[in-house]
Amino acid sequence: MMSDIGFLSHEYAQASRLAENLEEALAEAELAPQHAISLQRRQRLSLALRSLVDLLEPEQADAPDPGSALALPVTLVRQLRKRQYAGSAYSAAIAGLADRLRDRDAAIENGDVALLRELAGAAETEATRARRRMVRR
Amino acid sequence: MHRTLGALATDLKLRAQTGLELLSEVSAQRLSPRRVAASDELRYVECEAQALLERGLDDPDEAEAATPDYVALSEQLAQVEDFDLPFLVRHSEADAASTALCDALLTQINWPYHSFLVGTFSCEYYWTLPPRAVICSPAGEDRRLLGIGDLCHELGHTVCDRDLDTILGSFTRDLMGYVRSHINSPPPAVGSPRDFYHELLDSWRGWGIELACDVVATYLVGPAFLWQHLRLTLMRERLASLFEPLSGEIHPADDARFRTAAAALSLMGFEVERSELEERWRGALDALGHTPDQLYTTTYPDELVEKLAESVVEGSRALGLRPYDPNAGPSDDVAVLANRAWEALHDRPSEYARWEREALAGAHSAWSQ
Repeated sequence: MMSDIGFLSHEYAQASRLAENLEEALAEAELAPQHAISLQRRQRLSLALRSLVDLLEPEQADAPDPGSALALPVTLVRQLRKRQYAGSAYSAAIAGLADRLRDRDAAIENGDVALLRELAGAAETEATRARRRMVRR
Repeated sequence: MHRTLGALATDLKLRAQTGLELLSEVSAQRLSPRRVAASDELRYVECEAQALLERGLDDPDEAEAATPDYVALSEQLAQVEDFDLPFLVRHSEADAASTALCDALLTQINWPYHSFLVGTFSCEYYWTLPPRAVICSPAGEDRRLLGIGDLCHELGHTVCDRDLDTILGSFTRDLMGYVRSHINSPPPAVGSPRDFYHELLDSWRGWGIELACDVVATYLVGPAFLWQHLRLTLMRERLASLFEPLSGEIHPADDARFRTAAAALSLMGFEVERSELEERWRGALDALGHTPDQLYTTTYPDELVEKLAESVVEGSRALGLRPYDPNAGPSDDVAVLANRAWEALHDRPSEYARWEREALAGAHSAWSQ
């Protein structure tokens, strides 16, 4: 039996880091008027979400950023691929949010915060799954 | 819940104290830095557990607010219990010998990261947990040289953990380009091309880590890794997956692993060795009666296999890791020793046991100086 711990540890670290980044952004958005998020965080988040969209819809990816794509857990992409958001493909909702985050003048709406919250939850779930598989073999 | 949490916080504190007691019995000087680090972590959990108990957990609201803190502390404690204590408390002469071999290897290959504590009590073959800096091997590996390639595979996980972009950056771009350019081709399996290539992308992103570790191992010990892969595949043939696509699994097909390592061997200039190994590999496949089907060949195309090998070999060079060189070092050079072991096993099998024993004794003597 080959052990999966090395890979699972990697997935756990990536999913935890992503969940943490999303939670920090959420905390900032929920406290600030009109959900204003700092420019630096908006850019970082936009890049990560754009890479998520590229992985969900590789046929649409014009110039994927391998660095950001590598930081996204494989299991999360698999899970999101199966989901829908407000009746549409998940990738479309994330692409919209990534575009709004990139545009410094675009307002962050309640729906965007809800999507961020769902993504943070999904990343946290994948971190927990990876951890559970690591320690409960 | 509030009564339960009070009881569990007491248990948490006791678990930390038990760990501290166990660590206080660890006397080996060489383990001192790790013992101190693990003890610090346990003391932190002990103090925080006490702080939890002082929060008045009889109050249901307070207990509810404290529950996430309990869970986080318990997770932290479990890391020490699962991955530090067994390596420190049960550290044996065999573990010390394997750790010494690993230390020597790390020095020789210009390893830019932390060292490892090696345990020899695994029931899941070789495994590693990079954040805890441990590697676990099956019992007896301290007395053997043939499995060094798999030790190097585990080192690859730390390389991926620390420098994944350097190792797999260019491959990820190639992988996404490959999927994009093939997504309208009819797949060999039932289902839409889109679903097939989405799954291929997800699977390869996962397999990329394990394959990258194989290439790092090949980069470090050359042919010895492929010999070991052949040995491992045959010795666990019932569990082997030579041509199964294994979509969604963490480890890719064994034949794809061989092909990727073989591609890396060519990139390093070992064409003669690659030819010999491929002949032996084909012989093994024929003997076992395994043949690839179209689903396998579409899932593991040569183009991706070669691109991954290129990306990882280039990345390993960029990180300053020393590639395998048969003329590199003295007889205690771990990579050279691993390859000589395979040569000795093939050339003089009846004398191999004595050769291996003497080679290891000589090397340990050199490493301890």
